[in-house]
Amino acid sequence: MSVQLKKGVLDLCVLSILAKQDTYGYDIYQSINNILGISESTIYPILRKMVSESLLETRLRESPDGPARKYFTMTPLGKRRYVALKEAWQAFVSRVDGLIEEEEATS
Amino acid sequence: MKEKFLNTLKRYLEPLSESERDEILDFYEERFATGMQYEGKTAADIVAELESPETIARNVLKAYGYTSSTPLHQTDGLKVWPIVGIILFDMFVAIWLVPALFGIIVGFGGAFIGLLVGAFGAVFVPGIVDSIWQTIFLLGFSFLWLMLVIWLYELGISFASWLVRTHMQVFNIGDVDRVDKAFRQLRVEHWMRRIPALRRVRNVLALIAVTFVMVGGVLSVSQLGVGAFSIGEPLHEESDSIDVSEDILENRPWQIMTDLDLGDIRIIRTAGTEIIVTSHEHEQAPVTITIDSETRIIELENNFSGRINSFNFLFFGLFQRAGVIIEVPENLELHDLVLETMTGRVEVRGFILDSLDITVLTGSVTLRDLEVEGAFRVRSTTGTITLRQVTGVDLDLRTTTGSIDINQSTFDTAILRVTTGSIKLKDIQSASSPAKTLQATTTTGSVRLENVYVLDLTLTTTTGSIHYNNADKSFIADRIRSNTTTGSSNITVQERP
Repeated sequence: MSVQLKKGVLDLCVLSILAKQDTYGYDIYQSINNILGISESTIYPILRKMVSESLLETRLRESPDGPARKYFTMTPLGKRRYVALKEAWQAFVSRVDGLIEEEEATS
Repeated sequence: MKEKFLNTLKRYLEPLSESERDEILDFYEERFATGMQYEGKTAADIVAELESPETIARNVLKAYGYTSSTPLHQTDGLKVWPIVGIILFDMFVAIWLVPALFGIIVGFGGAFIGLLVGAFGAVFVPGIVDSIWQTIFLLGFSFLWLMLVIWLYELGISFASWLVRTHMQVFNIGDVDRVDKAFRQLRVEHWMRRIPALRRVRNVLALIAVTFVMVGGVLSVSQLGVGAFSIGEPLHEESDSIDVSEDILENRPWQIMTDLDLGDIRIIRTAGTEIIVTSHEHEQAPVTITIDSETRIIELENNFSGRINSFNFLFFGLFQRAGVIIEVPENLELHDLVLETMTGRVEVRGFILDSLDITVLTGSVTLRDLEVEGAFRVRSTTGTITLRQVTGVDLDLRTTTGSIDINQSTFDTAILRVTTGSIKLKDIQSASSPAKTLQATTTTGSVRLENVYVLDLTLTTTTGSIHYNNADKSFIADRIRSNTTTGSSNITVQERP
């Protein structure tokens, strides 16, 4: 995967995780790591960048069995970005799928 | 284990700003907390799971746009270049800037106390001021001065804080943030933010000060005139004249000598056969005009008997200028001019003289269309010396705070000295008949020569630039010695090898 594509996909991954529920940095990392196999040090700057672009917000949430953790929440702007990225991704995937099907049909 | 990991990471992330660095460290802090609290791991387990601090830093720095091709290094050790830089800065800049700033602040502060004491003293000691309005003016003025002192103090603190912080960062010692905070405590601005009442007091004081200065100034001037001088009244006019038609016929030269405490001097050519001396003078400084037809000397003298206080000095000169105009018949020969005035300008135009000697304390000197065969000496303390179409032999011009400007003139040798001001020469002699020597020295100002054909030049400035260019490139000087300490030097004129 190209760097550019990977970056876009990472953004989409983070946003789709947070679309389901608010969660903390390590949890986001683990979910993405299971699919893409990338390091923490790649995810954290992305989270921070998305906060500074006002796509995400953070707030501290108390936990019954441990210290307070920083939870990430999507902002309305983040939701819009999520929808746009999702549509772009789906269009991209269906076009790639179309190519593959064509190739399979001819062979 | 955890502390060591985080500290190492922190050092690798040095290029980032503090807030950026803290954000990243927060993540890892949380990572340790989560792992140990929720997953029952030890710090060592988590460190083993994580990438090395160096890898993390490399990824993070790349993501933040720091594309460093050099391998990351820990900034535990001291960097050489900043240390060299700061030592040079200390040796050449801080060594004078710090005491200078301190001196300025203390000096201005002292002046404030002096002003305040003066203002109050004037209330209780009769006879110092002529009106309560002068006191009000001085009070307002001293408060405005105080604001200036406070501003300078703030400036000094900012500079000191910057200096200390830079040293601590370069030498990697101490807690910079704590020192920064300590310095902030010293700032007036800081206290004004904490105690809003202080700011209000300052604003009210500023308003009062401005009002006092304006009202006090206007009323004391309109009531009394400017100090001892009446600005409403016209100056007195005195006049004297002598017919010199015989001297013109016999080619007998005259001399003019002045010794004024106050007043401009203008000497100009006129048609006719009479020397006419006209003086516009203040009551306190009448000019004695002595015209001696035997020795053929005109002498002018006055003594300023008014009280000199700051008030007189502040205003007088702004409104009316006392001065003497000497009109000399076109065909009369002048021998020597010895002109001296403490406060006033001197202007001489259109003569052939044996010698010229001008001394001015505060005022400029303008010489036009002159030919001087002998001594040519001008001294000014605060004034500009300007020469246009002047022919001299040995020029000797000096001024302390003012510039020297010579245009379309000729000389054999010239010594020009200025302390704070520039020296400008243009169109001097020609390539075929150059002058012998020129010595131009200034401390803070530039030296600029254009079409100046002189064989032996010495151009010196401490903090200014030197510029020397001639249109006639065939001219080659015998010797050009130029020296500037902190300015640039641009000399395009050839020098004989």
